[in-house]
Amino acid sequence: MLPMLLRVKVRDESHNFGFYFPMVLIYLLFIPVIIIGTIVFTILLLIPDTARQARSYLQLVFALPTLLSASIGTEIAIQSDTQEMLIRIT
Amino acid sequence: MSEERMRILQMLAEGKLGVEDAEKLLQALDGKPREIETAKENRTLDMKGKYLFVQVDPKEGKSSERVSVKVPLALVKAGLNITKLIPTDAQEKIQSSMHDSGIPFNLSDIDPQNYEEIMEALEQMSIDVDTDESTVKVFCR
Repeated sequence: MLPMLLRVKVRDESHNFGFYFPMVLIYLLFIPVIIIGTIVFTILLLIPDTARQARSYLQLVFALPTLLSASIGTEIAIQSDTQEMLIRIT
Repeated sequence: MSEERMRILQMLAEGKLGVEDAEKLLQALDGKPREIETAKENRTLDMKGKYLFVQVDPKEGKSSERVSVKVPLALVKAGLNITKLIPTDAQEKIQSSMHDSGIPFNLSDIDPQNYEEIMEALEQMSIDVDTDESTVKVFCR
């Protein structure tokens, strides 16, 4: 399963806010890139000179969702005496 | 047919083994891969809740930031798995730029047999770096 929420929490002396950002919005932004990429890849696969090279990159592209889904649970927290920031992928 | 299986059948044909004993040995051989597979599945399940932590804590009286990074071990494994999917021409480019940066690391040295060893070593790894300013800890939990 792909990560669905990005938790962001920021706190300093005067502000304190946190929000959950739905990752679906980021994935939606990538739809045009995926469409254009698919068209470009198809063209590259049809050209005999580039087909072999394009096919080898195809496996890598298919493996990217695995990398994304494995990132669930990643957390980065930075704290100082006056400021605090937290990013968590869920 | 595996060499072990052939040897059992040969011993049965030569009369060195009884039918029952040969059957038991063959059954044990059949069970072996399943045991290995179960062990692998268990390891994957074990890894699911495990994380690689990097913590930077400032020394008392120092005002530097406290940093904590928590990365799932599954992400490390997925990253390792992806290295074998990188096309050879791209691997060569990565390798040469890594070499230029002073990192003599060969991506092709990581083969699937090494993955388990790397993951095992990572799980047991604990690095503590103590400086005047801060303490850096890298560990798995």
